[in-house]
Amino acid sequence: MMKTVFADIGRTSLHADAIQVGDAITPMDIPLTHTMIAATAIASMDFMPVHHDKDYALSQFAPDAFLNILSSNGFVSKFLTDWAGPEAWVKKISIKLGVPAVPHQVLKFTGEVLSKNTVGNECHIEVSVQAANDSGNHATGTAVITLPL
Amino acid sequence: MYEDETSAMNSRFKGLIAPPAMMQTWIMPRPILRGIAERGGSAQPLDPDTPLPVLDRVGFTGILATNSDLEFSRPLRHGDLLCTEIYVESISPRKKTGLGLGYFVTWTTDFIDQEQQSVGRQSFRVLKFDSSTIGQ
Repeated sequence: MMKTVFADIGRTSLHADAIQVGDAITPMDIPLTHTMIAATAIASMDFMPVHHDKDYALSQFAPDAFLNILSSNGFVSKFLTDWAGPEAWVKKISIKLGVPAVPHQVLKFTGEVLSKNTVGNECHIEVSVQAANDSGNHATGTAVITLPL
Repeated sequence: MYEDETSAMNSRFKGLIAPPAMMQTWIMPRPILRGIAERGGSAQPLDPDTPLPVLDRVGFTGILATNSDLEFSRPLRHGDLLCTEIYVESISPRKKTGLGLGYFVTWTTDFIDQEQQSVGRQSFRVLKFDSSTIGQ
């Protein structure tokens, strides 16, 4: 796949022309732990006890403390920019939430390119996104990233 | 783009930008930790006349997020000052769900910058349910 190299960044960004409808997004695995779930919740200023207090989560019929949605969206964003590179900008993330993302399971991100559109001097790339663990789909939906043309 | 000023300056962003999905973080209220569990996890006491506390009072105390739609208009940068306008978009009729009877409540948050321009919005849907009615 054609990549544009930005010497100062030391990482490559995909060139919009090289992206085709149907391309798979490079999968991303996030092994979740209690620490990561609590840390990402607090880092995103979400102090809901279900994200850092297992006893409280159990009292709310949850299987364990679970990932907050801000972090689910954050990981979707990372999934997309890890694939497309630092010149990509995430414009839209629409997700339907399913099973909670709990510790001791790997949250697996997959997706593919659904469409490409030129808007001004940018390419808007719509992708499908799925984040699943052993219990099923945690988040499914679509996202849009932009890349320069 | 988020942390390395030199790389960000050399990118199409011409400077550091904030991670887009953190937009919601910038407006999260400072939490009052004491009593947070008793408030159902709310960082601060909620206005009792808004939909979620009203549903709590009539037994629909369970809450489960079902949908999040985030859209960003421009990258956020150091010095941006955000405020929000929140409005309730819809409240569904009472539904039977796997968690009991409940209502789907959808609200939208508009994020507005110091120039009164919209920088993004989030639509969020939760199910407020009464777990004592499972199977009814």
